[in-house]
Amino acid sequence: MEKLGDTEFLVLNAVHLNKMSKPEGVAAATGLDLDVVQRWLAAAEQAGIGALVGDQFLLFPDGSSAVVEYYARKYGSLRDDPALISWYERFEALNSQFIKLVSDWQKMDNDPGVEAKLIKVVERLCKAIDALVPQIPRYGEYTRRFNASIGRVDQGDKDYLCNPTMDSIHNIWFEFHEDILSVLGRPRDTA
Amino acid sequence: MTEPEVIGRYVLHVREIDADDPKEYGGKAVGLARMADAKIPIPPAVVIGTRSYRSFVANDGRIIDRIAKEIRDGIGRLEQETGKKFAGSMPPLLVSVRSGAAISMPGMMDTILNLGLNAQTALEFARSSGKPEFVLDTWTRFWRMYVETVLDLDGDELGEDIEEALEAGTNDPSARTFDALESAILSHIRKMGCEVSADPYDQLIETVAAVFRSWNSPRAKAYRKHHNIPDDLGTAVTIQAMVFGNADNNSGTGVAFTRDPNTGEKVLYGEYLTGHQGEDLVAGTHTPIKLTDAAMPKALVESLEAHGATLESLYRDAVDIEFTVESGTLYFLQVRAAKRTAAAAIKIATDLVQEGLVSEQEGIRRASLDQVLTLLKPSFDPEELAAAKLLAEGLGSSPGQSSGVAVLDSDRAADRAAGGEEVILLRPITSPQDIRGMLSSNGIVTARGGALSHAAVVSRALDKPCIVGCEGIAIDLEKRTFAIAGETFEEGTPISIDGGTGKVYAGIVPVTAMASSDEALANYLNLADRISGADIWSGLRSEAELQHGEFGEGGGFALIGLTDLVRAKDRLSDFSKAISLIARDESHDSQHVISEITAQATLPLLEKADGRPVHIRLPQLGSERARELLPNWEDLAAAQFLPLGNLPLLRALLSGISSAANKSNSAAVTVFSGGIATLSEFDAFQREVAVHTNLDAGLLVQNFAMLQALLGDGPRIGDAWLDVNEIIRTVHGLPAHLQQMSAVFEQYCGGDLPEMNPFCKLAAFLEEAFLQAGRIGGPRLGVLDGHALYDDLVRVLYEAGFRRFSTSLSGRNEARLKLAKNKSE
Repeated sequence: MEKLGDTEFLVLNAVHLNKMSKPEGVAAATGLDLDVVQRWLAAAEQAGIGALVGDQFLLFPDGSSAVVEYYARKYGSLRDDPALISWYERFEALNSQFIKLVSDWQKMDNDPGVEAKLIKVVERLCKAIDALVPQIPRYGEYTRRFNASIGRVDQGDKDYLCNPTMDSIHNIWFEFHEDILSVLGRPRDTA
Repeated sequence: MTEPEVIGRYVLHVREIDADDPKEYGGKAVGLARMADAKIPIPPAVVIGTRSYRSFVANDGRIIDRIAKEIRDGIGRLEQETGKKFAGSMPPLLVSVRSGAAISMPGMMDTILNLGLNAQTALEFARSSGKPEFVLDTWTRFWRMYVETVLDLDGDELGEDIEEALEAGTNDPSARTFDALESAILSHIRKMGCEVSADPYDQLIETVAAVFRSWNSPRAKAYRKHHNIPDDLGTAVTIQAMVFGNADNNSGTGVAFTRDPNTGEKVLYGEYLTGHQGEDLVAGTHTPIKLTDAAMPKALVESLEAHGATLESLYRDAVDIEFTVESGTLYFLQVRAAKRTAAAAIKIATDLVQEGLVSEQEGIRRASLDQVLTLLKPSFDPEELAAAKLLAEGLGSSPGQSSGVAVLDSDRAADRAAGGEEVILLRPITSPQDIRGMLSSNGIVTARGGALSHAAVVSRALDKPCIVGCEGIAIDLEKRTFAIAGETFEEGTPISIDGGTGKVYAGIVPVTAMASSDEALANYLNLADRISGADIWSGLRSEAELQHGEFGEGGGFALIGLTDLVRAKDRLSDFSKAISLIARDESHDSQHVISEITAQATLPLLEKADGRPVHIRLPQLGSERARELLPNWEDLAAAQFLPLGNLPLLRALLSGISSAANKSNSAAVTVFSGGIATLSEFDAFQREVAVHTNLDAGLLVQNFAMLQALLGDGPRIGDAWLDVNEIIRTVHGLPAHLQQMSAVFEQYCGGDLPEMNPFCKLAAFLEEAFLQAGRIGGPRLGVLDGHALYDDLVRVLYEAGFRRFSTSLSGRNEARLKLAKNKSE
């Protein structure tokens, strides 16, 4: 099988992280134009590594393997980088805080004080991600998505905090977590 | 203590401000002023009014000398009241600084605590208190907050940089180590490119400036733009003295609830920790005593009770209170409407009404719809649960009870659920790739992971039960099996889970309908009925369902399909056969069979209806259902598809119901026929029904023609039901099989036609007709299947004047709540 190019990876990775995704969702997550996304999805379907099922694009195991191979090829050199490893250790600490705060927010009737702390943690992650952007430019999209969803939450649309059916802050975080684990080539060890 | 004069133009003591001017002083200061007015003991506080913000803006983001001086004077006022000293000798005055706009908004600066120490005063404090660790913790926590919120730097980096200096200070509290720690902090900040002063007065001014600057943070600006809040409104700043529960043995800290937050019972609830700070209480490092404990100082409990009662009438709600006792003086630090469980919420709501503290309409708002719906959720039948076999146990992390077949993969879970199966997703761990499977499952179990996990967050957001860390389950994804205690199960094995207790059971544990025995819940629902004035009728599919419901004071049973009753008696096939025969000739034998089955099917319901009116809907040969049930339906003569197209059948049905009504001695029975479109047709139907003196004819309106006719001649018609969704469907010419209407329209044309859903937003002429019907229809004109209508539509109909609604049995209580909530908001 052909190895994935950069744009092709962006498109298929966005599908891979969610198992299946609408082309519009891929465009929103990657910042790519919809017709570019559709072109690459069509190419993937042609290559037999994925298919459009209803309005969602589904990646086959071969497609996922190609994405995993790209991670290894592109980021293999980063995997022993002490700076990135210590970055990830800090992320884990932040991740625990984040999940604790989201859990508290859910259990405490959407307490505004907890919400403010929670968003502060997201803003800290965004700052931390900014530091990785020189090495992994596509990570800029995560901060853009986080900020867009924070804006929605601020405007009162609290579903953008953790509703799993939309580009909620928790969904973006969950996806980023999966992404950084893939960059580091580590298995997920927490639920 | 002599009362000092007013501080000035810009800075005021909270007791001096106009408590009705949150625009000038902010919500926080106004809240404190009201508490002070009510003689609630609060730590003294001053407020920098919004006019200072305007001065700040007018002077290019600078706090002018006049204001800086007034802030100093304000601190002086706090020193005077507390007998402490800010940035001076013992005992030290520490303050908190909070932003306070009239409306709280995102992006505004958070609270800064513990402001007021420097190396010298910190050391004196450490020596006088004999608690160097506590003082260092207080001091460095201030710096961390200052660094993060005022200077926008990383607090963790500061923490790493000063770790050694902090340790030295802890091990050897001396001028040398404290000075070194201060230098380390200051040089770290300067290294990051920020200016900083060790003088607490400078820090205070900087903090106030940071609050003012945060008014223009991107998030705050976006929020104001969205909510049309003027940008020049500005913010106030509140500065409050801090008190310490670890000052001596006559100090302590605690939380108090005016009512038990678990049950709602009106008793003082909470805990108290002597000689410690609030953090120790939160961290759980020390064991507090309950407020009801005999060891509690009596005077403290009495004060809490007395002030609690005052606060309840101020808040018109149960409150929770964070309080601290400093050297024998009680202070209230934070008061808010109490957090409470759903069960407590409904009890408190009805109690507040009964105590006369709030009106009925206000009372019903003290429990949220979601909270009450939680209580109405079906749960495992207690007897069945006791007999169920416990398979495994993990951490219950999203409450609820459900069952289904265990599926070990998200794709297969989604597929099996799409095929109509009830599914429980059972995974080693979950990743974002599992969200699809979680969406289509009844519940989620993971073998690994702690209580704080993404899976639990997603489950709670989806309101599905979830158990994590179920380590007794070994999952083999390859073989599609899972093993528990040496026993191996295939994928597809039915299991039941309780996301509250974390228990996994073998097999499907049946659920019971909502608990109707709960007295508090029944009181709350009755309160809802009184507010809405609604007359709720229940649909039933068999008399057996009567035992699952609590039917309140009014209402009756409507609209009950005769076909459903026949099906419940297992006579549907005989019934269909006889109808099929009678549709072909006038066989008296078939007529007899139909009457007999009809009587048999309706009698038990009429006997058990307990005197409530029963509205029965007759089967119709023209319906989609008849088409499915009747053999060779397409051969029937077309005339029979009209409502009165087969009189022998109609007469047989009526005589069956009539004889059952006779035998049961029941209350009024009214019969309805679908599809009637003109008044003369209805007259004919009435004449047929009138043959039986114990039956009444009712009108079921399913089309726009009949609705219009009703509007012209409404008053002379007795009981009538509007089949609103059917009227909308036929007016718009939509196909009969349009299932799951909302989903269809939300995705129609890729979701590009938001105004397109006619079931949600009525066409103008239709809305006018319904409004008119609501005005003139009177109490006997009801809305059919209220549970199946959009909330917005129900609101329109209620406002039009409709009060009679029918609902399914399972949707009944939700409809009662929503109608009352609409009315009260």
